[in-house]
Amino acid sequence: MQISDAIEPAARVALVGLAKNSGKTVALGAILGELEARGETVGVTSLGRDGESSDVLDDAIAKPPIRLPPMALVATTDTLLERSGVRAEVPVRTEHRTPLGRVVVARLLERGTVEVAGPVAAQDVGEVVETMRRLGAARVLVDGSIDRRAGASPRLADGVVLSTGAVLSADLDQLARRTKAAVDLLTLGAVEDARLRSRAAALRTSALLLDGGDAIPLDTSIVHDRVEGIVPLIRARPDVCAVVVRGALCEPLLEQVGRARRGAPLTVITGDATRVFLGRGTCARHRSRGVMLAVLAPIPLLAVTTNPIAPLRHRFDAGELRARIAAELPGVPVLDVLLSAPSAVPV
Amino acid sequence: MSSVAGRASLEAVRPYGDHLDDGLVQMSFTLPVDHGPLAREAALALVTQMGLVRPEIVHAKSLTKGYTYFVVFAQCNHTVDCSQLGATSSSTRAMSEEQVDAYIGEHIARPLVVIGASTGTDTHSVGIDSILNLKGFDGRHGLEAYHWFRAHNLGSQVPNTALLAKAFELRADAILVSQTVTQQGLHLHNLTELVELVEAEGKRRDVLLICGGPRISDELAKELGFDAGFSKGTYPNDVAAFIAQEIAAREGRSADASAAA
Repeated sequence: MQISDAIEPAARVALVGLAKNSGKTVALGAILGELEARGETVGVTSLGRDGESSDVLDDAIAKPPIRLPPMALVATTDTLLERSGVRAEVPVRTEHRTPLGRVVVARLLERGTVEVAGPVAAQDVGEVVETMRRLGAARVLVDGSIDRRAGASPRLADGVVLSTGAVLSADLDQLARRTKAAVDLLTLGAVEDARLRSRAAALRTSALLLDGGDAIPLDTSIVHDRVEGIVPLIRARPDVCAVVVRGALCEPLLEQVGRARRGAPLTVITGDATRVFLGRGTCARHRSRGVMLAVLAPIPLLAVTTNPIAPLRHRFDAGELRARIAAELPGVPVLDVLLSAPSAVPV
Repeated sequence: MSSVAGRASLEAVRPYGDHLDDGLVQMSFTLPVDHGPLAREAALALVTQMGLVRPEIVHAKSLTKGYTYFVVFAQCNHTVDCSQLGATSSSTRAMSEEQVDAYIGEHIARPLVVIGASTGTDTHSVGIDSILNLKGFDGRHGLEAYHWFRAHNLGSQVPNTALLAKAFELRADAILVSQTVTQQGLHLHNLTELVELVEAEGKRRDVLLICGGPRISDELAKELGFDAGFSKGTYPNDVAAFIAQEIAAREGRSADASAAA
């Protein structure tokens, strides 16, 4: 399977890396190459800036340039476009200002390397994605920077390609565990009960949902700061059937929900997986304490790419790493885009 | 010669040591080699590999068994063309404290709420203190002293969630985080997490996110999803000028947008 086959169902594809140098830019390059061979018009934007020629923290780490085919649409800034020297027209100049100039949507008139730099706010990136679709992009790729996940939100993308790599750990088992934990978090399942789902979706604020159909609103300060405050609220209502959090859901609140329920199962519902922030814990650990996580809008995981090299540090055997991650993630296409025959290892 | 009347040409800049354009460089480093002829040879070979010529060891000292510290002079024949740089420099106009206050009075005319902290496990508060506290730094007042700023300094080791809860409560216009990013980028996750939390709350458009620290550049800030990044050599008025001009531009933008709608 090629990576372009894996992303076929999604018109808007987010690329997310589990860390810096996890191979996301190489994955983007592979997708661009394959889509060009298919004759597809592509748009590339980013959430934040990525694609600069050297790493912003360590100049010794050369970053692969993102080469775009003629007619590709790219979100960049006026300054970066001029500096690239690539011939291009600019059908849309946005109002979004960044430290590197104003964000523009450019159409390349020749093959070239342009630094991708979209708006900093996810909502604004969403507008750029729609602009590119309107300008004729059959597929739009949203490149996230460093380990940011916001680009994976279902509001922006129809599916995600996740990049993992040796940079996460020098220990293969630990690397596999951390990748699995990240995938579990990113692919949190939808609320199964249709009625519960529509009740949660209708809420404007965070709340406790009760069996009878009522809801007790939760103060924002309880959700974020004084999380212990949720314990008496939950214990006072045996008829609580779910906790709904609008906005960010953080680990301390989950801890307190678990404490309040003393092991009795309870579902915590949030908008989508990009709003869930786990510190050192994992979804599995919370589940074992009876706290289930569910989302209103699940994120389809299209593929996972593996990068066997941690720059300036260590490396794994490419085939072995790919196979190890594939074994951890049944049903998910796992690819090393630089391996010539990825299908040689059974998924 | 690339110098004219004792002034260096900005098209071919190289280090100044004893006289213009001599390219002299001084550096210090430690090699994990016992003090002795082998270590000296290794030091000279290393400096040559750096692209420098005529290396000269002016100081070598054993630090402990197996480690030698060097100070080396060498000559750099490379030059930098400054006219090709500057594409990433900020468009913010430099302003003094008085100019910032006058600018806010004229263009925004309301107090700007700024909240700041050293986040996560970072205990370094000197950076955020020098920007926010009344006393400021190097004779320039911090934002607390400004007429139009309402500055709140939460101190150090503040969790991202606590910083955000306070920012939302105070309806902050800008959030400043100070972070001592290490060589391995260990604190990067803490910075991206703050941005992701603001995104998850759906409030990214409502607040300016600014980070600062010794290894933070504007480029890194943008890559992390911040609106600006400030590094060494930043004074409170630089941050104040950025906040004032950026908010004026954004509020101007929203006024334009509603007029067009």
